[in-house]
Amino acid sequence: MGRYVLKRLLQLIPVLIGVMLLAFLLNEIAPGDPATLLAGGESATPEKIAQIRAELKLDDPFILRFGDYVKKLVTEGNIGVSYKTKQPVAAEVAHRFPQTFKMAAISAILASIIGIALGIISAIKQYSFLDNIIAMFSLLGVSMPVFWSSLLLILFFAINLKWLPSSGFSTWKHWILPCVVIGTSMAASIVRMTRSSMLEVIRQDYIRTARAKGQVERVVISKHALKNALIPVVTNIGMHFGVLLGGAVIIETIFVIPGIGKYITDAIRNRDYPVVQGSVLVLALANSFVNLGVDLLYAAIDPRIRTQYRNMGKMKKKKAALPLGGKAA
Amino acid sequence: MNKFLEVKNLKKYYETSRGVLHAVDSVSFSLAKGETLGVVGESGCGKSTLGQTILHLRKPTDGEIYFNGEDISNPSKKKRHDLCRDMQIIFQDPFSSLNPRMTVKQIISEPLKIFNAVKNKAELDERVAKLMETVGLAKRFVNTYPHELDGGRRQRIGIARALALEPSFIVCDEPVSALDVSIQAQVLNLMQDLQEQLNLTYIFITHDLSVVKHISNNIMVMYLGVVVERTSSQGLFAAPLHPYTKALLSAIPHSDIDVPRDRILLRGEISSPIEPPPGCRFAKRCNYATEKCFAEDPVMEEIYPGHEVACHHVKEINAIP
Repeated sequence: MGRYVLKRLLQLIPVLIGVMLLAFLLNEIAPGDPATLLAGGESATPEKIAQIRAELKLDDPFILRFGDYVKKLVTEGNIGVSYKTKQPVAAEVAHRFPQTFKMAAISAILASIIGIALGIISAIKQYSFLDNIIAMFSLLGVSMPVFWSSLLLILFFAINLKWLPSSGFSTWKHWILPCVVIGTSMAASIVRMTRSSMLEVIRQDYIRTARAKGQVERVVISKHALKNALIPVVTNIGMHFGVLLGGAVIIETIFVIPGIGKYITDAIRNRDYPVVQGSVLVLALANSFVNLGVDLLYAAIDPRIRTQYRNMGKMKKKKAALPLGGKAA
Repeated sequence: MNKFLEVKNLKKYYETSRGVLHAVDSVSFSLAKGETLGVVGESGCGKSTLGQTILHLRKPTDGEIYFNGEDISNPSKKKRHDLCRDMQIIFQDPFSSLNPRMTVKQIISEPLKIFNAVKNKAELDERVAKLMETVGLAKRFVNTYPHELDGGRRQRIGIARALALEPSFIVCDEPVSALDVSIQAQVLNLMQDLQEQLNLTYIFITHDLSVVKHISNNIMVMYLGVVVERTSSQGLFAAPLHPYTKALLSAIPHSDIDVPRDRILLRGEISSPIEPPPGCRFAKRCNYATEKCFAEDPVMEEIYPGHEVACHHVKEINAIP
């Protein structure tokens, strides 16, 4: 298992290099010029613009700049300095990413608990009144735009009832509304996924086998059915979580949370290349860890996958051992 | 006859969007301890549903079931749970009936754990080893997962699992139909040996007539949810009385190609079990059907001692006085 994780961590290196190159290229291709924007727009004098271009080394060839960036990253651990604010990107990301992470994590946990529970109920009581109600709410959750549900919730809980603050992020109360908004829309898709996956498993013969063994229904559902149905659900949650780490820009804007989503979109608008590159790099890293986490969860859920991971390491060893044995003989 | 299991007018209906589906309709039979009752019929005639309904894996719509003289038609939750000790089932498909996440040992030991049939881990290991030995599974497979094994071995797991609680009655729901012929013979022999050793009573569901001949004392032929003929194994193969049984038996392939065969070919397809019209279910495809067959339900009638048939014209067809 440790060997598998190590292998996956080593695989991160080419992935991150690829991500950096792509982010760099995209900035290069994208129209607009940071120097012009920094100089104050189209009205700036050509001299001023040329001066800024020289300062930012924008006239250097692409390869040179990319090499410089990678060198700084490897030797100093520096992921860049903002063109606009002259602040190091790392510090800003370190300040903003935890907010985004907190929001994503709370929402995902909330959504998983609600989504999986309702999904199971829906599947067990297929076509019942309860199932229909849950289906209706999940349809509503999927199709309602988050900005609209956010505004409704703010109107009701913050303005009418005055129970919760409408914006900010200082106390736990501030987190309730944004997390509920993201959580419910995410839960809606988890409900559908859990329901269909459970229905597929519940019809399997081995569920009938478990009942024939005399197993109580609760254990049949939780042990035999749910664990077999969970893989696609976990995949779904992992994907959602990865997207959320990229920042829920709309939610961050509405609730005035200084998250990474807003940081990146602002940077793109300002053609603030170092910020875009730095945050994309951090997000790619975070997403890779989420993926690794999901894959490890698979192993926790399914013993067959666990064995597979273990054998991967062993097979490597055997292959390596063979030529050596040949030489000795 | 000492009635070990008795089923009276068992019905299993399903509500569907197109009407009520009569999967099992008024099936009655009884069997003595140590006996094997073969249930044959084509796909979709309700054989498996019958077996699963007897075990309450599906809730019967109506009818009575007596097991060891006790009424189990409508058992309490606890009673149904306790019945699992005495009544077990071997499923048809050894690929889908085993939980893919569990090892052989976990699968076989689960029933023992549920009923606290063992005191400690050592005893559990011993019981699992013994069960595996009984069904002829090598010890080395104890920690493998079902997908690592072939169909025959997987079916042996299913049998070991069914035997774990030492039941007295087992429904074998086409236990060999998913296996290739050489493995079929092995598994059938194993099941017969087990029956002798443990004095088991079987209901053996199959669509394979040669299998059922090999293993059963009595045979019940089903068509579209109803029983059309019931007799001893020899009696059925020697002199089938119902037109459907005749057609069924004529379809058994023979190894001698020189003997001319009178195949009775049935017209049409099996009709829908949803809201079946009154009358004989087989009438639509029967060569002898008359108006009466489309109007009146035939009842089971004892033509010879121990040989019952449900057909209005059984006497004319077979020239019985």
